[in-house]
Amino acid sequence: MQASFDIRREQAALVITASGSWERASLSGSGVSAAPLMDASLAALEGPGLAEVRFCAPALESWDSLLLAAFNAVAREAARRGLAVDARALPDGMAPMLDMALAVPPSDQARTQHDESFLESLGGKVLALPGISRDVLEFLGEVTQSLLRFARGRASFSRRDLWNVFRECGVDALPIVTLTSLLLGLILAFVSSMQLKLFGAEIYVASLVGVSMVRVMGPVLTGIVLAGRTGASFAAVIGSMQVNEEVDALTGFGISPMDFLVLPRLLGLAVMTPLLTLYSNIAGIAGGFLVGVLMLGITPAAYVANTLSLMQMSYVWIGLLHAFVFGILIALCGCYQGIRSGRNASAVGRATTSAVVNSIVGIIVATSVITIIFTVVDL
Amino acid sequence: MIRRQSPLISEPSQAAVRADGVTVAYGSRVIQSGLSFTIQKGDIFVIMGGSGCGKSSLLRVLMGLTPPAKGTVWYGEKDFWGAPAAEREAVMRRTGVMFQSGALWTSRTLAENVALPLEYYTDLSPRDIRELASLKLSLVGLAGFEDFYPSEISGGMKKRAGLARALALDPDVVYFDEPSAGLDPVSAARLDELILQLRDTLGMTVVVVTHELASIFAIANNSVFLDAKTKTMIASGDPHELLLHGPDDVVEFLTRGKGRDSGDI
Repeated sequence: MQASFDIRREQAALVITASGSWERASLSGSGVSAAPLMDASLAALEGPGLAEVRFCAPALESWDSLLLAAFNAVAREAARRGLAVDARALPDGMAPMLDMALAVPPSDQARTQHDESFLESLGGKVLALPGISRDVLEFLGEVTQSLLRFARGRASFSRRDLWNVFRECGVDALPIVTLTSLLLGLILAFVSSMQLKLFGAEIYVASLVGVSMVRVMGPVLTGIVLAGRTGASFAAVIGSMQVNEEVDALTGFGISPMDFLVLPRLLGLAVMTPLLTLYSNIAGIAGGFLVGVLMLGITPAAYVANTLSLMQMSYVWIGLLHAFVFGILIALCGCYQGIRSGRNASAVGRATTSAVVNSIVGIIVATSVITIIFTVVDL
Repeated sequence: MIRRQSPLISEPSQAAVRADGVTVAYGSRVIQSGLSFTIQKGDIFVIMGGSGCGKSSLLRVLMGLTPPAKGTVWYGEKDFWGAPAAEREAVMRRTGVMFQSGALWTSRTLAENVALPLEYYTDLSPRDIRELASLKLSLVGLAGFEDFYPSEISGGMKKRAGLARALALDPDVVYFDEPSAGLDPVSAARLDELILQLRDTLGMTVVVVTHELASIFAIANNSVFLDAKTKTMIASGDPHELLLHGPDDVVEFLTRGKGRDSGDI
């Protein structure tokens, strides 16, 4: 028999009767759900002069949790309104389960979920800003203290982590830096040659590739590769250590996580990013060289001579300064996100994403600032 | 054994750790308040109570990981939370912690885990440190596992390795966060025996957070009972005494283990 229900008033009592087959299997496909029963019952509860809600099911053939869930929702609402609930007429098994569900009143801490409007979420973000800024400043302060301890030779940190950083952003990063820098050199050479051809000045492709790689493209490219590779891994490693209480275990021994975890990563990247940038510059110039010699018909000697003729040592230093700043930015973003990560898997994922995004934004902003400064002082 | 440092606790007052009006809170949500109790030297002190009543949070305050919202903790004559960070770290060096999941440093072998605090705080030679690490691992029954990584051993072994690491610096006070959680009854009982032996041989003070009744009666000689409803301690003393003369809620907990299925699971 089809699942059906009936709701009627008997003086001050609301009697809700369910009959038929209420098992989910029979409901699926038939398009019947418990929602109509709930909606109708809840609507009936609005009626005046009610004192009691009575459930009965004399002609019920089969049932499962779905019907019980509907009864439970109605009974909760009735209890909230101070009405008596009578479930004694329900079949064996059903009444005790309903009693069990109703035995513990809902927590007063229960949350009502609601979708935030655009303004609400915007306001929330603005209100969070002072807290985040304070937190970042606090972190920077702790890092500075840690650096001071290091300068006085009193910070002991994990040498193993330092070597890991050296290896990870040194040897291990070489293949990807080679590939991307070489290709970037190729692209720069191709694109610039198209314009320079118009003036018959293809030879200047050499110096254009050389100067732009050394001064800005090499450091930026290296920075972005390291942000994706190393910054993300910093956040993930330290974040997982948070989840696993490993950071607490360090603190528990009176070992500062700042000295032990952040310092080696910061120092490692500050040293390795400039070195890797030098390598990237050479790979990029080699890319330009390939295009110049093989496709534009410039002789190797002329290409090298033109590259060197417009190169200045100050460009190399400016490039290395970029790289040094990027290294510090990437390490700080990665470690900050890792140290402040929440203690669950999705928080570590968020920390990793934020570390990469913050690093890359930081790299672009820092590049603009440094470029503007050096343009103003005319170097 | 490394050179025994001068005792942290001054002899005349035998109190190792004393909580003084401690309030534990997450932000503005108070979990426990008005906690005052004294842990005597050589005690095995149990912090008990139902799930979610703030036992582990209290432990974090005692061992120096989270500051209390109110009140302070005394180590001997030292106001732990009133002292500057450097002095607090000096006290923390003299305490050991066994975390619930072991919290071993996953990128290091078991021997390196035990060795790290020694490398950090002593001038011992690598060979001495290696031997000390072996000894501590042997004490907890993990001889031969020196070069295993934490991911290669079972949960119970991780806990024991965590204990070996907690013992690395010959601490005066050792904290255990739910030592028997996730262990089978036999392993849990062995761990209890180990705790008793270590207390008797090394003279440590032991503080244990647990809700395992078997554990409580096997090892504890003093305790405090935290209640989730009233958000404060409702009893303290020897659990065997509390079983006879304690408040009703505590007796019920101790006789039926009711704390496990009431409260806010």
